[in-house]
Amino acid sequence: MLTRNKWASFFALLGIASLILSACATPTPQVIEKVVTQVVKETVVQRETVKETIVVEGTPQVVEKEVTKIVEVEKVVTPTPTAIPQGGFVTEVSFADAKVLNPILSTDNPSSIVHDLLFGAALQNDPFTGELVPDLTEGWEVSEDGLTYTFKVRDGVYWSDGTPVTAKDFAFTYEALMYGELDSPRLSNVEYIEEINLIDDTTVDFVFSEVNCTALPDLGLGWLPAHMYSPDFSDIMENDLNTNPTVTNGPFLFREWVKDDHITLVRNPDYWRGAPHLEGWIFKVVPNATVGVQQLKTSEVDVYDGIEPKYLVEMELQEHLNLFKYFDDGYTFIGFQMGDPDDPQPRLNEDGSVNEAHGVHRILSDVRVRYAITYAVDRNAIISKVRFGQGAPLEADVLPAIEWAYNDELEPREYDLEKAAALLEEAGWADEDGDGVRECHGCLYAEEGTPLKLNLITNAGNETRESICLILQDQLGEIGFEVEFEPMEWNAFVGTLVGQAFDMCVVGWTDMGTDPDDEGTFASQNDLPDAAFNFNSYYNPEVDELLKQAKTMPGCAVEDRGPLYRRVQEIIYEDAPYTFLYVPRSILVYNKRIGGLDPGPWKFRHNIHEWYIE
Amino acid sequence: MTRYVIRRLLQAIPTFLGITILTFVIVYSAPGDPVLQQTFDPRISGVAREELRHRLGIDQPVMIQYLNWLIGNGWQKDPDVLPRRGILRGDFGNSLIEKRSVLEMIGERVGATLLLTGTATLIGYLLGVPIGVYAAVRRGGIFDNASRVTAVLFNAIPGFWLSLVVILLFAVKFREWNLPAIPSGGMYTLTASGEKTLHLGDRLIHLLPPALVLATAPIANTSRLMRTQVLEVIHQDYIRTARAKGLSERAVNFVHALRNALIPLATVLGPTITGLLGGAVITETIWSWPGMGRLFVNANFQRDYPVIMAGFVIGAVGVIVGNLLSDILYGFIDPRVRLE
Amino acid sequence: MREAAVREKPGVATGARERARAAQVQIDLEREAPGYWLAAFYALRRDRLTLAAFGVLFVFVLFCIALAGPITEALGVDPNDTDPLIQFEGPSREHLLGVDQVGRDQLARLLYGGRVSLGVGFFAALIIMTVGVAVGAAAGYYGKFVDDVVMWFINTLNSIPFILLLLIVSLLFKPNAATLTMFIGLVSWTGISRIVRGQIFQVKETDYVTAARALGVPTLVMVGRHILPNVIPIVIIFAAQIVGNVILLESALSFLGLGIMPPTATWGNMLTKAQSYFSLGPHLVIWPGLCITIVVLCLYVIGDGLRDALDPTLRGTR
Repeated sequence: MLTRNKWASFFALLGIASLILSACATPTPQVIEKVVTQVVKETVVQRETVKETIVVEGTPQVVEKEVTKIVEVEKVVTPTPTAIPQGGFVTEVSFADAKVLNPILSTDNPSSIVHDLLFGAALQNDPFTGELVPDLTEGWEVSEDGLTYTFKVRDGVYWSDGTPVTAKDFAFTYEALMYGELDSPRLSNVEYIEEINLIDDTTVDFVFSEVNCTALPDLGLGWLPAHMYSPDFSDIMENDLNTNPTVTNGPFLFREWVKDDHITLVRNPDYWRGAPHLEGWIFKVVPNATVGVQQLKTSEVDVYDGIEPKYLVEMELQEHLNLFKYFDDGYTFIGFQMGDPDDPQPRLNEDGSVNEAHGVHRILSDVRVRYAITYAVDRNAIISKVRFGQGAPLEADVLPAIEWAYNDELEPREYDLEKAAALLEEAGWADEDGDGVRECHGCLYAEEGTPLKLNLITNAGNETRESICLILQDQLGEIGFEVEFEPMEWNAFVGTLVGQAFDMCVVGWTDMGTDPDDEGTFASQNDLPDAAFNFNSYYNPEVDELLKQAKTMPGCAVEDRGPLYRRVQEIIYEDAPYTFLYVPRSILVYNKRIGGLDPGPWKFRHNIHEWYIE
Repeated sequence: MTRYVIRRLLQAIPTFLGITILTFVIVYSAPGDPVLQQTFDPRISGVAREELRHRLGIDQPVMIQYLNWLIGNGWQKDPDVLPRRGILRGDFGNSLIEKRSVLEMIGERVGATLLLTGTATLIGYLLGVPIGVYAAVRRGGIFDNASRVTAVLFNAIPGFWLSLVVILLFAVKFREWNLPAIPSGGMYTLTASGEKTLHLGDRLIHLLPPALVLATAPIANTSRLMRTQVLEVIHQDYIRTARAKGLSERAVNFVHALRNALIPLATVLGPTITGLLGGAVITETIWSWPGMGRLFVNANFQRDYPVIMAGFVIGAVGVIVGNLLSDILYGFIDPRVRLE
Repeated sequence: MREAAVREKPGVATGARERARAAQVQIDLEREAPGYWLAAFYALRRDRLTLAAFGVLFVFVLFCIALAGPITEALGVDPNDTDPLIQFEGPSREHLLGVDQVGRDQLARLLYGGRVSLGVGFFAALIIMTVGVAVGAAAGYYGKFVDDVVMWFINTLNSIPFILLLLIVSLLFKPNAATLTMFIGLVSWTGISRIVRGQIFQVKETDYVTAARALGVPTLVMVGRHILPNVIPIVIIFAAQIVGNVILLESALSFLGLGIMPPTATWGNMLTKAQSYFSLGPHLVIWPGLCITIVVLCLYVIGDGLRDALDPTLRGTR
């Protein structure tokens, strides 16, 4: 017989067990039908009784008779209600967790994806054309001298705690970057801003120190809720809101964040564009592509942006998934070091004069060698084998999508091993000792007998780039190069790249945006070892001048800037500081059960408040 | 006893300083810096980068940075630099990437790591001890041989490979073949409302596969150790005496043999505790278990210096404390050692 | 009870059988017992499992180190030849173990990769042994001050969370096979060092060493005749295990991307990529790991076998 104590514990156990088990019951999401009434007019055929006066034949009698006629009449019809199902969650995968949910402190992509759904901004890219269009503003005006941008902030948008969104939030966000002494990688967004003038609740001025046609996208950071922070910006860095953003104004509200696992956002019923139909959106971290693909197939996750091309066929075979292919705003290239990798020097001295001590690359300074390498690379094979066909070749530094600046007259340098070999011979590189590797015999910059040996670096872990490097090593080996391929861990790679201590690299740019300006990569003032990104030591004063003109063009009209950029592309095509490989095409995969998706090449979450689960 | 402990603690201080200096110098000399990889965008100018470096205090000579790390940078009186109080005052600094307190970041993940490694160690003991004992008692028999071969096999299999194979077979392939499959990672499935489930079954099915893989080493080691110990103990005189006294076989086994055989387990307590914290780095990465191991590996790849150093300090403290505990425990159990 | 009684009274035995037995006892007593090493050799020779392990290991070493070249030439494959057209193909006539993600033959890569993995294993173990024995012997033999310094150093080294330091240093020194070997060697010797030191302490206390000292036997002779022979078995026993441990360590590091980087193949880094290729190429996941497991298993079995053969106190507990 169990003693009383034992009975008590028995029942306690039962109680606990039932509590646990009841928590197991997973709630089924409710689908609420929302009735939408519309006014519809239709032409309806119906019978009508009409009185007519008829003259009876033979007699002068007039009689009224009732006659039924068939008549077409327009009527207002109440249609059967169409319901957009409410509720449900959409899960999206990512390989990396977000780092910080504050738009002015983050640079990584996952963080941006999440906080873009929480915080609106002054402007955004049109999903289909990439053009800058207003988001939380109604529009902006530029002053005559091109230095002042005046923004008009939209009315009727509210933070999730009820406070209205005003121009103060816009001003505060940027003032924090300017004066707040923050440790933010976004400091350069405010580099050219001289002052910010808050005129009233809906108007704010940004005054720049010089005309800069590329400045506008920098003003597109998400706005912080000014009323949640101290006016002296001192509590921004360590604020709990950076990981628990409870005051937001986007389509979703923050619910929870479990590090390295997932972030859950739920619908914001007061979203100014209309309450989302979905109940929420989950951002899930998976360790690698295999698991991501798995979970897509089993519908554990719904959206996977940027799936690797090798899964293309597998994905197209899945009946419950849709694919959307779009060209990235970036390109992959082979970069050539034209300075001396053993003694990297800045191109310009402090006073702006040319640094005489800047070295010359013993092999790659000769443009014929660079042409030879370009001709020796079978770009089409790379696109079809390594990218599984998801890419388009590129000849110069501006993306085809930027139509007003793209130069389409450049002749593609097609794969031609003979031509490459001939160019090398002409440049003074021949294999006279028969070891398969050419040496310098009358070449321009190297000593007699120097072997044609180069090192090639890329970031380890990026399979596409590693594969390209291996193929490159092979193909260049066939015409007498000896290529030493070294995949490097990311940080070491970046250090070596920007430190200019390499011969060749395979790397890519992404998120280039809609402006064709690339002073950062080709202007001589950015040839600064360990500091800036003209790590190829490219130097062409004409390009410097053209880029500068185009960037500071008064009025910033595309008709004025376009021709300048086209000329830059011609020069770069001739100088070949890079071998441009391709513009990658990315693949967005999503589950068919999500309705309302309308993906564009620049964005696909732009109408997330209109998505629903079928 | 207390004098011994105090003496050991005092000895630990210069050790601690020595290894932290060494590690600090190594970490900060590694190529690449966190600013560059955060601002890998040609549109960000060099000026902004330099400013960021100055704010974070990473543009100073290494020894000065070490001093700042240890005692804070108040003595430098530079208003542009982020103020820090130094680890001796408990300020481990902020992550250079996530911009928030390192201790907070670690605190969020400690629980997950301890859950995984704790479960693995527990399974290791619960299975290893009886297996080892039984193998010793039935020495030479089939169970003995089988368990010894299995133990060596468990030790030889690379842990990360075992994880890969288990995931390949039981998560990926089983799912393809429509068999009940295990999840391929994570700590839990999300509920329909996007929150972590409290369903015990779900938590278990996420916990057990990585814990079991992690437990293979402890099972192997514990069972072999127990076997050797029990064999040694069984031949001792006091066992014979106990039998001669007429005690039942069970009493002999449990009261005398087992208790003495368990002694060496105490000595490995130190390394075990250390293992609890850092031992699951690779497993956590493969199974995407949100624990400290992954945090540390990622911090290394991103050159997040404060996190790397904090992880290291915690690890070192864990090792020192573990060894100390081990010695003290052994001293309690075996009085011969105390006299040393 | 009864047998003991009978044995204790040999003189009582009568009859032919008893006389034969007594004679045999006499012969046995006169014959010299096999020496330590010979006895160990006999014990090893009887241990079929260990012999099998030796065999398998020998085959692996032979194939990877000596025969890699001839085999790949005979089969017409090259570990570095890329051929993106045949990505991920499973085992076929031309590629016996299939190809990887850029079309390189897996068998060739396993053979050449084995060179690296095994090489790092053996050479790092060599460094560990050399440094460990030297330091441990010095500490054990000279004692007192030297011992204190060494112990302090060892304790410090041990206080460093090993894997964390490895992670950090791997990132710094971009290891190739040589630097990785040196690093692993220089950080892992403390274990064997302690054991050797302990062993020497034990030996130093024995009567015959004390006697030798008292007699004024020169140091070198003492070390050579008394101390070393007691230390060598321990070292041999641990050698096999250490090689196994190093191979596991190298493969774990390379797997994480911190050890030897591709395109140089090692069994560990062949598995790094394999993680993402589960569905596309399961053969890439299986074979490198299998090689590591088999080699390390053999080494551990050999280590156990050696211990059983060389440690007389354990011969009874086998």
